[in-house]
Amino acid sequence: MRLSYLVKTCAMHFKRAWLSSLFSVFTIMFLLVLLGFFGLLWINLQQLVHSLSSQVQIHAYLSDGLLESQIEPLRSRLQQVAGVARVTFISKADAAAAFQHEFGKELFSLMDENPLPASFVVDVQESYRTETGIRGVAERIQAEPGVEEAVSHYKTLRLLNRYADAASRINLFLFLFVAAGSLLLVANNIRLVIGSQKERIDTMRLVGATASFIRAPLIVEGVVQGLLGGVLALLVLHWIYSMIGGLLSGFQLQGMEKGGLLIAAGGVLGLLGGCIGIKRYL
Amino acid sequence: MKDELNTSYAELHKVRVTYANGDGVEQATLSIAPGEFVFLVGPSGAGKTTVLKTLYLELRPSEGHVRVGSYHSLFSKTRDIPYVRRSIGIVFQDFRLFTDRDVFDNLAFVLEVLGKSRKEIKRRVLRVLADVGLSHLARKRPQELSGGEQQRVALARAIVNEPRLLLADEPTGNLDPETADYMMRLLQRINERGASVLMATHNYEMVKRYQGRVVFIRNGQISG
Repeated sequence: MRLSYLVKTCAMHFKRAWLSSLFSVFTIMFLLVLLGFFGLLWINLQQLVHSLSSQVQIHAYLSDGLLESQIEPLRSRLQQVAGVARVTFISKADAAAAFQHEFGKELFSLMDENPLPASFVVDVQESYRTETGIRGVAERIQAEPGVEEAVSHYKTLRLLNRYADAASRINLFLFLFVAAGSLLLVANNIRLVIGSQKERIDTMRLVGATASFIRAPLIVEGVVQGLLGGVLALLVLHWIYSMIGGLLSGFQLQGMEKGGLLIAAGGVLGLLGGCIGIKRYL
Repeated sequence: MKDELNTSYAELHKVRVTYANGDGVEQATLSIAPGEFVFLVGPSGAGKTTVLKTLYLELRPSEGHVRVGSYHSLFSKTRDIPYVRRSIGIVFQDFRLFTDRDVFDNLAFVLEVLGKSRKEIKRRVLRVLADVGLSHLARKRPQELSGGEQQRVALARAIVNEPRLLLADEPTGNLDPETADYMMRLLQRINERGASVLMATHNYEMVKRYQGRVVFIRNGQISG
Protein backbone atom coordinates (compact mmCIF):
# COMPACT_ATOMS: atom_id res chain seq x y z
CA MET A 1 0.00 0.00 0.00
CA ARG A 2 1.37 3.36 -1.03
CA LEU A 3 1.85 6.01 1.67
CA SER A 4 0.11 8.67 -0.41
CA TYR A 5 -2.96 6.42 -0.68
CA LEU A 6 -2.94 5.94 3.09
CA VAL A 7 -2.67 9.68 3.77
CA LYS A 8 -5.34 10.53 1.19
CA THR A 9 -7.75 7.92 2.56
CA CYS A 10 -7.20 9.04 6.16
CA ALA A 11 -7.83 12.65 5.14
CA MET A 12 -10.99 11.54 3.35
CA HIS A 13 -12.23 9.69 6.45
CA PHE A 14 -11.41 12.70 8.60
CA LYS A 15 -13.34 14.96 6.23
CA ARG A 16 -16.28 12.58 6.19
CA ALA A 17 -16.59 12.39 9.99
CA TRP A 18 -14.75 15.60 10.90
CA LEU A 19 -16.94 16.55 13.82
CA SER A 20 -16.61 13.19 15.46
CA SER A 21 -12.86 13.10 14.69
CA LEU A 22 -12.32 16.55 16.20
CA PHE A 23 -14.37 15.55 19.22
CA SER A 24 -12.14 12.49 19.66
CA VAL A 25 -8.93 14.52 19.33
CA PHE A 26 -10.01 17.17 21.82
CA THR A 27 -11.41 14.70 24.31
CA ILE A 28 -8.23 12.63 24.15
CA MET A 29 -6.33 15.89 24.65
CA PHE A 30 -8.43 16.72 27.72
CA LEU A 31 -7.95 13.24 29.18
CA LEU A 32 -4.21 13.32 28.53
CA VAL A 33 -3.94 16.80 30.10
CA LEU A 34 -5.53 15.36 33.23
CA LEU A 35 -3.17 12.39 33.18
CA GLY A 36 -0.16 14.58 32.41
CA PHE A 37 -1.03 17.11 35.10
CA PHE A 38 -1.22 14.53 37.86
CA GLY A 39 1.80 12.74 36.44
CA LEU A 40 3.82 15.94 36.64
CA LEU A 41 2.45 16.64 40.11
CA TRP A 42 3.64 13.21 41.19
CA ILE A 43 7.07 13.69 39.61
CA ASN A 44 7.49 17.06 41.34
CA LEU A 45 6.28 15.79 44.69
CA GLN A 46 8.75 12.90 44.45
CA GLN A 47 11.43 15.41 43.60
CA LEU A 48 10.44 17.58 46.56
CA VAL A 49 10.43 14.61 48.93
CA HIS A 50 13.86 13.58 47.68
CA SER A 51 15.23 17.10 47.96
CA LEU A 52 13.78 17.67 51.44
CA SER A 53 14.85 14.29 52.74
CA SER A 54 18.44 15.10 51.77
CA GLN A 55 18.17 18.26 53.85
CA VAL A 56 16.58 16.67 56.91
CA GLN A 57 18.96 16.73 59.86
CA ILE A 58 18.56 15.59 63.43
CA HIS A 59 19.36 18.11 66.12
CA ALA A 60 20.57 16.39 69.29
CA TYR A 61 20.34 18.97 72.12
CA LEU A 62 22.69 18.21 74.98
CA SER A 63 21.94 18.23 78.71
CA ASP A 64 23.03 21.46 80.41
CA GLY A 65 25.20 19.70 82.97
CA LEU A 66 27.36 17.94 80.39
CA LEU A 67 31.07 18.44 80.94
CA GLU A 68 33.47 19.50 78.19
CA SER A 69 35.30 16.20 78.60
CA GLN A 70 32.11 14.22 77.92
CA ILE A 71 31.39 15.88 74.59
CA GLU A 72 34.00 14.17 72.45
CA PRO A 73 33.13 10.62 73.68
CA LEU A 74 29.46 11.40 73.00
CA ARG A 75 30.28 12.53 69.46
CA SER A 76 32.14 9.23 68.92
CA ARG A 77 29.15 7.26 70.19
CA LEU A 78 26.75 9.20 67.96
CA GLN A 79 28.98 8.63 64.99
CA GLN A 80 28.64 4.89 65.64
CA VAL A 81 24.81 4.99 65.60
CA ALA A 82 23.39 3.11 62.60
CA GLY A 83 22.31 5.52 59.85
CA VAL A 84 24.44 8.46 60.97
CA ALA A 85 26.59 10.01 58.23
CA ARG A 86 28.14 13.02 59.92
CA VAL A 87 28.06 14.68 63.34
CA THR A 88 28.80 18.38 63.80
CA PHE A 89 29.13 19.98 67.21
CA ILE A 90 27.39 23.33 67.85
CA SER A 91 28.51 24.87 71.13
CA LYS A 92 26.32 27.14 73.23
CA ALA A 93 28.33 30.11 71.92
CA ASP A 94 27.90 28.99 68.29
CA ALA A 95 24.15 28.57 68.84
CA ALA A 96 23.91 32.05 70.35
CA ALA A 97 25.88 33.58 67.48
CA ALA A 98 23.60 31.87 64.95
CA PHE A 99 20.53 33.04 66.83
CA GLN A 100 21.83 36.62 67.02
CA HIS A 101 22.67 36.53 63.33
CA GLU A 102 19.14 35.50 62.52
CA PHE A 103 17.09 37.48 65.02
CA GLY A 104 19.33 40.33 66.13
CA LYS A 105 21.12 41.08 69.43
CA GLU A 106 18.27 42.75 71.28
CA LEU A 107 16.81 39.57 72.78
CA PHE A 108 20.14 38.50 74.28
CA SER A 109 20.81 41.88 75.80
CA LEU A 110 17.78 41.37 78.08
CA MET A 111 19.11 38.07 79.45
CA ASP A 112 21.88 37.40 81.96
CA GLU A 113 23.06 34.21 80.40
CA ASN A 114 22.87 32.28 77.13
CA PRO A 115 19.75 30.05 77.29
CA LEU A 116 20.54 28.03 74.15
CA PRO A 117 21.85 24.48 74.66
CA ALA A 118 24.87 22.99 72.92
CA SER A 119 23.90 20.43 70.28
CA PHE A 120 25.06 17.98 67.67
CA VAL A 121 23.71 18.37 64.14
CA VAL A 122 23.44 14.88 62.68
CA ASP A 123 23.31 14.22 58.92
CA VAL A 124 21.63 10.96 58.02
CA GLN A 125 22.91 8.40 55.50
CA GLU A 126 20.94 8.40 52.21
CA SER A 127 19.43 4.96 52.76
CA TYR A 128 17.94 6.18 56.07
CA ARG A 129 16.34 9.30 54.57
CA THR A 130 12.82 8.02 54.91
CA GLU A 131 10.26 8.82 57.54
CA THR A 132 10.84 5.57 59.46
CA GLY A 133 14.61 5.67 58.90
CA ILE A 134 14.99 9.18 60.30
CA ARG A 135 12.67 8.45 63.20
CA GLY A 136 14.71 5.33 64.07
CA VAL A 137 17.99 7.22 64.01
CA ALA A 138 16.46 10.02 66.13
CA GLU A 139 15.21 7.49 68.69
CA ARG A 140 18.64 5.84 68.94
CA ILE A 141 20.31 9.24 69.40
CA GLN A 142 17.74 10.24 72.00
CA ALA A 143 18.63 7.09 73.99
CA GLU A 144 22.27 8.16 74.34
CA PRO A 145 23.13 9.51 77.83
CA GLY A 146 23.85 13.23 77.67
CA VAL A 147 21.30 13.89 74.91
CA GLU A 148 18.41 15.89 76.26
CA GLU A 149 16.28 15.78 73.13
CA ALA A 150 16.71 14.63 69.51
CA VAL A 151 14.55 16.63 67.10
CA SER A 152 13.89 15.84 63.45
CA HIS A 153 11.31 17.06 60.94
CA TYR A 154 10.20 13.67 59.74
CA LYS A 155 6.56 14.71 60.07
CA THR A 156 6.97 17.10 57.13
CA LEU A 157 8.51 14.25 55.20
CA ARG A 158 5.62 11.99 56.18
CA LEU A 159 3.12 14.56 54.94
CA LEU A 160 4.88 14.97 51.59
CA ASN A 161 5.15 11.22 51.21
CA ARG A 162 1.43 10.96 51.78
CA TYR A 163 0.77 13.54 49.07
CA ALA A 164 3.09 11.76 46.69
CA ASP A 165 1.36 8.43 47.40
CA ALA A 166 -2.05 10.02 46.85
CA ALA A 167 -0.87 11.55 43.56
CA SER A 168 0.47 8.16 42.52
CA ARG A 169 -2.90 6.51 43.26
CA ILE A 170 -4.83 9.28 41.48
CA ASN A 171 -2.47 8.82 38.56
CA LEU A 172 -3.13 5.11 38.31
CA PHE A 173 -6.88 5.69 38.46
CA LEU A 174 -6.62 8.47 35.89
CA PHE A 175 -4.51 6.32 33.62
CA LEU A 176 -7.20 3.63 33.63
CA PHE A 177 -9.90 6.28 33.10
CA VAL A 178 -7.99 7.96 30.28
CA ALA A 179 -7.18 4.64 28.65
CA ALA A 180 -10.78 3.45 28.75
CA GLY A 181 -12.08 6.84 27.57
CA SER A 182 -9.64 7.13 24.68
CA LEU A 183 -10.21 3.56 23.52
CA LEU A 184 -13.96 4.10 23.57
CA LEU A 185 -13.74 7.37 21.67
CA VAL A 186 -11.45 6.15 18.92
CA ALA A 187 -13.40 2.91 18.55
CA ASN A 188 -16.65 4.85 18.36
CA ASN A 189 -15.26 7.18 15.73
CA ILE A 190 -14.21 4.18 13.66
CA ARG A 191 -17.69 2.72 14.12
CA LEU A 192 -19.12 5.93 12.63
CA VAL A 193 -16.70 5.84 9.70
CA ILE A 194 -17.46 2.17 9.04
CA GLY A 195 -21.21 2.78 9.40
CA SER A 196 -21.13 5.59 6.88
CA GLN A 197 -19.10 3.51 4.43
CA LYS A 198 -20.61 0.07 4.68
CA GLU A 199 -21.52 -0.20 1.01
CA ARG A 200 -18.23 1.31 -0.01
CA ILE A 201 -16.30 -1.21 2.13
CA ASP A 202 -18.33 -4.05 0.57
CA THR A 203 -17.39 -2.76 -2.86
CA MET A 204 -13.74 -2.55 -1.84
CA ARG A 205 -13.88 -6.22 -0.87
CA LEU A 206 -15.51 -7.12 -4.17
CA VAL A 207 -12.77 -5.48 -6.22
CA GLY A 208 -10.17 -7.54 -4.36
CA ALA A 209 -9.15 -5.42 -1.39
CA THR A 210 -7.80 -7.54 1.46
CA ALA A 211 -8.96 -7.02 5.04
CA SER A 212 -5.65 -5.36 5.93
CA PHE A 213 -5.94 -2.98 2.98
CA ILE A 214 -9.34 -1.81 4.27
CA ARG A 215 -8.27 -1.74 7.91
CA ALA A 216 -4.91 0.04 7.62
CA PRO A 217 -6.31 3.57 7.00
CA LEU A 218 -8.76 3.17 9.89
CA ILE A 219 -5.99 2.12 12.27
CA VAL A 220 -3.73 4.93 11.09
CA GLU A 221 -6.62 7.31 11.65
CA GLY A 222 -6.91 6.13 15.26
CA VAL A 223 -3.16 6.57 15.79
CA VAL A 224 -3.22 10.06 14.26
CA GLN A 225 -6.12 11.08 16.51
CA GLY A 226 -4.22 9.80 19.57
CA LEU A 227 -0.98 11.53 18.53
CA LEU A 228 -2.76 14.81 17.83
CA GLY A 229 -4.49 14.58 21.19
CA GLY A 230 -1.07 13.95 22.80
CA VAL A 231 0.61 16.92 21.07
CA LEU A 232 -2.23 19.27 22.02
CA ALA A 233 -2.17 17.96 25.60
CA LEU A 234 1.56 18.65 25.77
CA LEU A 235 1.04 22.21 24.56
CA VAL A 236 -1.69 22.80 27.14
CA LEU A 237 0.47 21.33 29.91
CA HIS A 238 3.36 23.51 28.82
CA TRP A 239 1.14 26.53 29.18
CA ILE A 240 -0.16 25.40 32.60
CA TYR A 241 3.44 24.73 33.67
CA SER A 242 4.62 28.17 32.72
CA MET A 243 1.70 29.69 34.65
CA ILE A 244 2.44 27.65 37.79
CA GLY A 245 6.19 28.12 37.38
CA GLY A 246 5.64 31.90 37.45
CA LEU A 247 3.75 31.60 40.74
CA LEU A 248 6.30 29.32 42.44
CA SER A 249 9.49 31.31 42.74
CA GLY A 250 12.53 29.39 43.82
CA PHE A 251 11.17 25.95 42.92
CA GLN A 252 12.28 24.46 39.64
CA LEU A 253 9.39 22.45 38.13
CA GLN A 254 10.46 19.20 36.54
CA GLY A 255 9.05 16.46 34.34
CA MET A 256 8.28 18.30 31.09
CA GLU A 257 11.23 16.51 29.49
CA LYS A 258 9.08 13.37 29.72
CA GLY A 259 6.37 15.05 27.58
CA GLY A 260 7.18 12.71 24.68
CA LEU A 261 5.67 9.91 26.74
CA LEU A 262 2.32 11.69 26.67
CA ILE A 263 2.37 11.84 22.87
CA ALA A 264 3.43 8.19 22.73
CA ALA A 265 0.61 7.28 25.14
CA GLY A 266 -1.83 9.08 22.83
CA GLY A 267 -0.50 7.17 19.84
CA VAL A 268 -0.68 3.79 21.60
CA LEU A 269 -4.21 4.47 22.88
CA GLY A 270 -5.25 5.52 19.36
CA LEU A 271 -3.74 2.35 17.93
CA LEU A 272 -5.51 0.13 20.45
CA GLY A 273 -8.79 2.05 19.99
CA GLY A 274 -8.48 1.60 16.23
CA CYS A 275 -7.88 -2.14 16.59
CA ILE A 276 -10.85 -2.50 18.95
CA GLY A 277 -13.10 -0.49 16.63
CA ILE A 278 -12.17 -2.63 13.66
CA LYS A 279 -12.52 -5.90 15.53
CA ARG A 280 -15.96 -4.93 16.80
CA TYR A 281 -17.47 -3.18 13.84
CA LEU A 282 -15.74 -4.37 10.66
CA MET B 1 -15.18 -33.08 -15.16
CA LYS B 2 -11.41 -33.26 -15.48
CA ASP B 3 -11.71 -31.94 -19.04
CA GLU B 4 -13.91 -29.14 -17.80
CA LEU B 5 -11.30 -28.21 -15.21
CA ASN B 6 -8.72 -27.99 -17.91
CA THR B 7 -10.76 -25.98 -20.40
CA SER B 8 -12.94 -23.64 -18.36
CA TYR B 9 -11.75 -20.56 -16.53
CA ALA B 10 -14.76 -20.48 -14.23
CA GLU B 11 -17.48 -22.94 -13.42
CA LEU B 12 -20.45 -23.71 -11.23
CA HIS B 13 -21.05 -27.39 -10.64
CA LYS B 14 -24.45 -28.50 -9.31
CA VAL B 15 -24.54 -25.42 -7.16
CA ARG B 16 -27.30 -24.73 -4.71
CA VAL B 17 -27.65 -21.32 -3.11
CA THR B 18 -30.78 -20.60 -1.12
CA TYR B 19 -31.88 -17.31 0.46
CA ALA B 20 -33.94 -17.12 3.63
CA ASN B 21 -37.13 -16.59 1.59
CA GLY B 22 -36.54 -19.81 -0.35
CA ASP B 23 -35.33 -18.14 -3.58
CA GLY B 24 -31.95 -18.96 -5.08
CA VAL B 25 -30.49 -21.40 -7.58
CA GLU B 26 -30.67 -25.18 -7.65
CA GLN B 27 -28.35 -27.67 -9.36
CA ALA B 28 -26.82 -24.80 -11.31
CA THR B 29 -24.07 -25.90 -13.63
CA LEU B 30 -22.26 -23.48 -15.90
CA SER B 31 -18.76 -23.30 -17.27
CA ILE B 32 -17.07 -20.42 -18.98
CA ALA B 33 -14.09 -21.08 -21.21
CA PRO B 34 -11.20 -18.64 -21.53
CA GLY B 35 -12.12 -15.94 -24.06
CA GLU B 36 -15.75 -17.01 -24.23
CA PHE B 37 -18.72 -14.60 -24.29
CA VAL B 38 -21.72 -16.00 -22.45
CA PHE B 39 -25.14 -14.40 -22.07
CA LEU B 40 -27.11 -15.47 -19.01
CA VAL B 41 -30.67 -14.66 -19.96
CA GLY B 42 -33.71 -14.79 -17.75
CA PRO B 43 -36.52 -12.73 -16.30
CA SER B 44 -36.17 -10.66 -13.16
CA GLY B 45 -35.91 -12.85 -10.07
CA ALA B 46 -34.76 -15.89 -12.07
CA GLY B 47 -31.43 -16.09 -10.21
CA LYS B 48 -29.06 -14.26 -12.61
CA THR B 49 -27.54 -12.05 -9.92
CA THR B 50 -27.23 -15.06 -7.59
CA VAL B 51 -25.19 -16.88 -10.24
CA LEU B 52 -22.94 -13.85 -10.66
CA LYS B 53 -22.57 -13.38 -6.89
CA THR B 54 -21.62 -17.04 -6.57
CA LEU B 55 -19.01 -16.60 -9.28
CA TYR B 56 -17.47 -13.56 -7.64
CA LEU B 57 -17.56 -15.48 -4.37
CA GLU B 58 -19.90 -13.26 -2.41
CA LEU B 59 -22.27 -16.18 -1.92
CA ARG B 60 -21.09 -19.59 -0.84
CA PRO B 61 -22.97 -22.61 -2.24
CA SER B 62 -24.55 -24.98 0.25
CA GLU B 63 -24.20 -27.78 -2.30
CA GLY B 64 -21.94 -28.30 -5.30
CA HIS B 65 -18.89 -26.19 -5.91
CA VAL B 66 -17.65 -23.07 -7.65
CA ARG B 67 -14.27 -22.72 -9.26
CA VAL B 68 -12.68 -19.54 -10.58
CA GLY B 69 -9.10 -19.70 -11.79
CA SER B 70 -7.13 -21.45 -9.09
CA TYR B 71 -9.84 -20.95 -6.47
CA HIS B 72 -12.04 -23.92 -5.60
CA SER B 73 -14.83 -23.47 -3.06
CA LEU B 74 -14.26 -26.93 -1.58
CA PHE B 75 -10.51 -26.70 -1.18
CA SER B 76 -9.43 -23.07 -1.11
CA LYS B 77 -9.32 -20.81 1.93
CA THR B 78 -11.48 -17.76 2.56
CA ARG B 79 -8.39 -15.58 2.75
CA ASP B 80 -7.64 -16.45 -0.90
CA ILE B 81 -10.87 -14.79 -2.08
CA PRO B 82 -9.52 -11.20 -2.42
CA TYR B 83 -6.72 -12.46 -4.66
CA VAL B 84 -9.16 -14.36 -6.91
CA ARG B 85 -11.37 -11.29 -7.18
CA ARG B 86 -8.40 -9.36 -8.54
CA SER B 87 -8.63 -11.49 -11.68
CA ILE B 88 -12.35 -10.77 -12.02
CA GLY B 89 -13.98 -7.55 -13.21
CA ILE B 90 -17.51 -6.87 -11.98
CA VAL B 91 -20.04 -4.47 -13.43
CA PHE B 92 -22.70 -4.16 -10.76
CA GLN B 93 -26.31 -3.54 -11.63
CA ASP B 94 -26.35 -0.50 -9.34
CA PHE B 95 -22.81 0.57 -10.45
CA ARG B 96 -21.48 0.84 -6.87
CA LEU B 97 -19.21 3.74 -7.69
CA PHE B 98 -17.47 5.67 -4.90
CA THR B 99 -19.32 8.97 -4.78
CA ASP B 100 -16.65 10.72 -2.71
CA ARG B 101 -14.03 10.17 -5.42
CA ASP B 102 -13.90 11.37 -8.98
CA VAL B 103 -13.95 9.04 -11.98
CA PHE B 104 -10.15 8.81 -12.13
CA ASP B 105 -9.87 7.84 -8.46
CA ASN B 106 -12.69 5.30 -8.78
CA LEU B 107 -10.60 3.45 -11.31
CA ALA B 108 -7.31 4.14 -9.53
CA PHE B 109 -8.61 2.44 -6.38
CA VAL B 110 -8.65 -0.97 -8.07
CA LEU B 111 -5.01 -0.53 -9.04
CA GLU B 112 -4.12 0.74 -5.55
CA VAL B 113 -5.44 -2.58 -4.26
CA LEU B 114 -3.11 -4.34 -6.68
CA GLY B 115 -0.19 -2.27 -5.36
CA LYS B 116 0.60 -0.58 -8.68
CA SER B 117 2.89 2.44 -8.80
CA ARG B 118 1.45 5.92 -9.22
CA LYS B 119 2.88 6.11 -12.73
CA GLU B 120 1.38 2.78 -13.73
CA ILE B 121 -1.97 3.73 -12.22
CA LYS B 122 -2.10 6.97 -14.19
CA ARG B 123 -1.11 5.23 -17.42
CA ARG B 124 -3.67 2.45 -17.10
CA VAL B 125 -6.55 4.62 -15.91
CA LEU B 126 -6.12 7.15 -18.69
CA ARG B 127 -5.91 4.38 -21.28
CA VAL B 128 -9.09 2.66 -20.06
CA LEU B 129 -10.96 5.96 -19.82
CA ALA B 130 -10.00 6.63 -23.42
CA ASP B 131 -11.22 3.13 -24.36
CA VAL B 132 -14.69 3.83 -22.95
CA GLY B 133 -14.73 7.40 -24.23
CA LEU B 134 -14.70 9.11 -20.85
CA SER B 135 -11.32 10.86 -20.77
CA HIS B 136 -13.00 14.25 -20.60
CA LEU B 137 -14.93 13.24 -17.46
CA ALA B 138 -11.95 12.00 -15.44
CA ARG B 139 -12.28 14.68 -12.77
CA LYS B 140 -16.07 14.51 -12.45
CA ARG B 141 -17.78 12.83 -9.52
CA PRO B 142 -20.13 9.93 -10.43
CA GLN B 143 -23.19 11.86 -9.27
CA GLU B 144 -22.41 14.52 -11.87
CA LEU B 145 -22.71 11.97 -14.70
CA SER B 146 -25.68 10.57 -16.60
CA GLY B 147 -26.79 6.97 -16.09
CA GLY B 148 -25.08 5.87 -19.29
CA GLU B 149 -21.84 7.58 -18.31
CA GLN B 150 -21.96 6.01 -14.87
CA GLN B 151 -22.46 2.62 -16.49
CA ARG B 152 -19.36 3.18 -18.63
CA VAL B 153 -17.36 4.24 -15.56
CA ALA B 154 -18.50 1.02 -13.86
CA LEU B 155 -17.31 -0.94 -16.90
CA ALA B 156 -14.03 0.97 -17.00
CA ARG B 157 -13.43 0.16 -13.33
CA ALA B 158 -14.19 -3.49 -13.99
CA ILE B 159 -11.60 -3.77 -16.77
CA VAL B 160 -8.86 -1.50 -15.48
CA ASN B 161 -7.18 -4.46 -13.74
CA GLU B 162 -7.22 -6.38 -17.05
CA PRO B 163 -9.37 -9.20 -15.66
CA ARG B 164 -9.53 -12.69 -17.08
CA LEU B 165 -13.24 -12.87 -16.34
CA LEU B 166 -15.73 -10.02 -16.63
CA LEU B 167 -19.08 -10.41 -14.91
CA ALA B 168 -21.67 -7.84 -15.96
CA ASP B 169 -25.04 -7.68 -14.25
CA GLU B 170 -27.65 -6.09 -16.55
CA PRO B 171 -25.09 -3.62 -17.95
CA THR B 172 -27.59 -2.32 -20.49
CA GLY B 173 -30.64 -2.52 -18.26
CA ASN B 174 -31.28 1.17 -17.80
CA LEU B 175 -29.75 2.48 -21.00
CA ASP B 176 -31.38 3.83 -24.14
CA PRO B 177 -30.92 1.59 -27.24
CA GLU B 178 -28.07 3.66 -28.64
CA THR B 179 -26.06 3.71 -25.39
CA ALA B 180 -26.89 0.03 -24.81
CA ASP B 181 -25.46 -0.78 -28.24
CA TYR B 182 -22.32 1.24 -27.43
CA MET B 183 -21.97 -0.69 -24.18
CA MET B 184 -22.36 -4.03 -25.99
CA ARG B 185 -19.67 -3.11 -28.47
CA LEU B 186 -17.36 -2.22 -25.57
CA LEU B 187 -18.01 -5.58 -23.93
CA GLN B 188 -17.31 -7.38 -27.19
CA ARG B 189 -14.09 -5.44 -27.65
CA ILE B 190 -12.98 -6.48 -24.15
CA ASN B 191 -13.87 -10.07 -25.02
CA GLU B 192 -11.87 -9.88 -28.24
CA ARG B 193 -8.83 -8.88 -26.17
CA GLY B 194 -9.04 -12.25 -24.41
CA ALA B 195 -11.25 -11.82 -21.35
CA SER B 196 -14.12 -14.23 -20.73
CA VAL B 197 -17.40 -12.34 -20.34
CA LEU B 198 -20.56 -13.45 -18.56
CA MET B 199 -23.34 -10.94 -19.06
CA ALA B 200 -26.61 -11.31 -17.22
CA THR B 201 -29.62 -9.76 -18.96
CA HIS B 202 -33.36 -10.10 -19.21
CA ASN B 203 -33.38 -8.75 -22.81
CA TYR B 204 -33.27 -11.75 -25.14
CA GLU B 205 -34.17 -9.60 -28.16
CA MET B 206 -30.99 -7.62 -27.71
CA VAL B 207 -28.87 -10.73 -27.14
CA LYS B 208 -29.89 -12.14 -30.50
CA ARG B 209 -28.11 -9.29 -32.24
CA TYR B 210 -24.70 -10.15 -30.78
CA GLN B 211 -22.38 -13.13 -30.91
CA GLY B 212 -21.99 -15.35 -27.88
CA ARG B 213 -23.26 -18.48 -26.20
CA VAL B 214 -26.68 -18.06 -24.66
CA VAL B 215 -27.61 -19.75 -21.39
CA PHE B 216 -31.11 -19.43 -19.96
CA ILE B 217 -32.09 -19.29 -16.34
CA ARG B 218 -35.61 -19.54 -14.97
CA ASN B 219 -36.71 -20.16 -11.38
CA GLY B 220 -33.13 -20.83 -10.36
CA GLN B 221 -32.56 -23.53 -12.99
CA ILE B 222 -29.95 -23.07 -15.71
CA SER B 223 -30.52 -24.55 -19.16
CA GLY B 224 -29.10 -24.24 -22.66
